Amino acid sequence: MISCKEASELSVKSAEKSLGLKGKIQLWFHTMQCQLCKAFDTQSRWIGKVASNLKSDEKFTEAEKIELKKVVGEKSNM
Amino acid sequence: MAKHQLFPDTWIDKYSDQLLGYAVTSLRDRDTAKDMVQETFFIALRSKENYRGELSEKNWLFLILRSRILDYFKKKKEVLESQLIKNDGDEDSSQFLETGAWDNDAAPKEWAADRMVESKEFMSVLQQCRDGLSDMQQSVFTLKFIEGIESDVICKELDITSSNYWVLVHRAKLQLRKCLEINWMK
Repeated sequence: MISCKEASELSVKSAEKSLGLKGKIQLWFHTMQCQLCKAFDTQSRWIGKVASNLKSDEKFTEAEKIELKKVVGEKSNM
Repeated sequence: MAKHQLFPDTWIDKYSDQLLGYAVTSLRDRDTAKDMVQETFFIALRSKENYRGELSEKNWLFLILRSRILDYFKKKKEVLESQLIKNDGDEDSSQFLETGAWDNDAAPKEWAADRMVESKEFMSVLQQCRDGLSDMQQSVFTLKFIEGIESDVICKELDITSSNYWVLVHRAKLQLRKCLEINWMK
């Protein structure tokens, strides 16, 4: 059986691409018997999913917008 | 189908805040993000003659910004490469025993379903955990999971091998998982 380290590597890969048959069986067999790696697999997939919703709500201040308009305006008139 | 049009005079009022938020999310540095938004407007002005109206004005501006962000990460390539080579105390070694089994301290615990929610507080902890990644891990993680860029494109643009890419994503996920477990799940 593959080690937990190898299983976690396969788990990370499988979240992004299809593993070959051998890899799929190895990961399935390992996670059937290892609750730790099963938890890692679930959690690691979830992290990838929620990361896409990371957002900053930074905004320009009014002064920065005035400056930006000035700089961009100058450029557009060149 | 009606083609879209550009209205450059309205860009700053309509889109600058959204573009800044997007850039700060990826770059984690407000000043760099500000410069990049400004550059986006410059590039858009320079290329407006080439705009064919297939994308909306907003999507077109975001596409330009996204390409600038990718360029930014490409420029960091040399620093990133040296980090990859020098990375001795890597995350996978520290979470596993020599046998490849989980180290007791790092072994994943069950996470309570009611903690696996995308609340504002959780997202803030996730952001802090992401800030703890190395530059190299952060670049790859950002491009893949935040920008949604395909792994083969990331490898090509950052000039890294596929195996390096997987090492980085693996380490990033190990570290993020551990950080969330300590700082959010407990």
